[in-house]
Amino acid sequence: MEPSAWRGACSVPFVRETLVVSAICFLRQSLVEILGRAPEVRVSGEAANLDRAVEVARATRPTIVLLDAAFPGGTQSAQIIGAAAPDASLIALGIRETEQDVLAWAEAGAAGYVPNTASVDDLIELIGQISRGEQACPSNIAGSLLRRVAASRRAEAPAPAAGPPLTRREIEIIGLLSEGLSNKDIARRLRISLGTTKSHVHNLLGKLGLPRRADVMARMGPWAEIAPPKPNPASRPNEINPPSGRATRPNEISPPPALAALLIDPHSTLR
Amino acid sequence: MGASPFLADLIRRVAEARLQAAGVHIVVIAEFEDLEAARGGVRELRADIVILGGAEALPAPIEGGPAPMLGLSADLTTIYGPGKDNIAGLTPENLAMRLLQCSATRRPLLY
Repeated sequence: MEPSAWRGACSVPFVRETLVVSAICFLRQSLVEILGRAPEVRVSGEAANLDRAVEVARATRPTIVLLDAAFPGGTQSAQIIGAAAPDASLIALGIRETEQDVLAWAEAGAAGYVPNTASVDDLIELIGQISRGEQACPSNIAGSLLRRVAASRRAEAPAPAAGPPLTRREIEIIGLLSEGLSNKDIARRLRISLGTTKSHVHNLLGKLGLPRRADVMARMGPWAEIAPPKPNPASRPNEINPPSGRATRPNEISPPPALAALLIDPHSTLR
Repeated sequence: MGASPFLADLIRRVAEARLQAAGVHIVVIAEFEDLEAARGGVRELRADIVILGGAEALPAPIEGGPAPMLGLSADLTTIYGPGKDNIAGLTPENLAMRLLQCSATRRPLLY
């Protein structure tokens, strides 16, 4: 049963330990007094400055931190107080309900906000809602939050492979280098001239940004060892080789990100 | 000036709790966000007390409005009035005390 449902069934208000943080004496004292009369809220402490807020947050471990949006330091203070009370839901009190402000406070770790147009009754109700993980907000604010989350996810996605793509021949040579073969051995294995082999290795190192051939092994790590390319006399240097074996090997270790992108979509790299 | 509903509600609640014992009932009859809009309202609504936000000193009485004035500084740290030299830190206690001094009148107006 959901905690809120249980509370409703028992008709016992869930008391939220609340820390009130505001540099404005009148606001702080008034809130402490008024919230203290609400059965569902217990004021566990109050603070007029950041040091005190951190101290009280650590000592009382509140479930709600009610932070005046006009508090010195604003969202930075919110982050500091939030770190001191990691289990608490931080509520920004009295913010302007604009996309910019709401997003700024959300990014600072606020679990919710109370707009400056709310009444005190609204505040008490909102404390309950926010502590249940709810937040009523206008549709334009919700839209902005969704867009921000989407943009954030895109930013976290692996970056596409940068730099010039590797040819299939160069990929083969990575495997051979990882075996420790010399240029001469590689040339023999691939049935190409020594000069062509040197040219391939030179280009490969340049594309990978590596100074020495020994660095290829270090860069590729175990991935290069798993699927060393077999000699394929019939293949032509620029022939597209589908990634058939790579994607389905059960014990495959993920390649480095830059090269992973190459293998996921090899066709594009070879065009 | 710039009285938010939240601030008005806060003032009403903290004052109400303290004034009831003295038999004074406080009702916020209107909030105005600018002085021009408030001028007509003061006369029409016959407010008993006018509380002016964003004040830097004791506000002058609004023309045509007989109500005594209280001023609150913009940063909500100071309360002015009633009376020229009556300046104090804004706390629920100080606010209630001053409202009580104005209790010969009956209704406050916030704007």
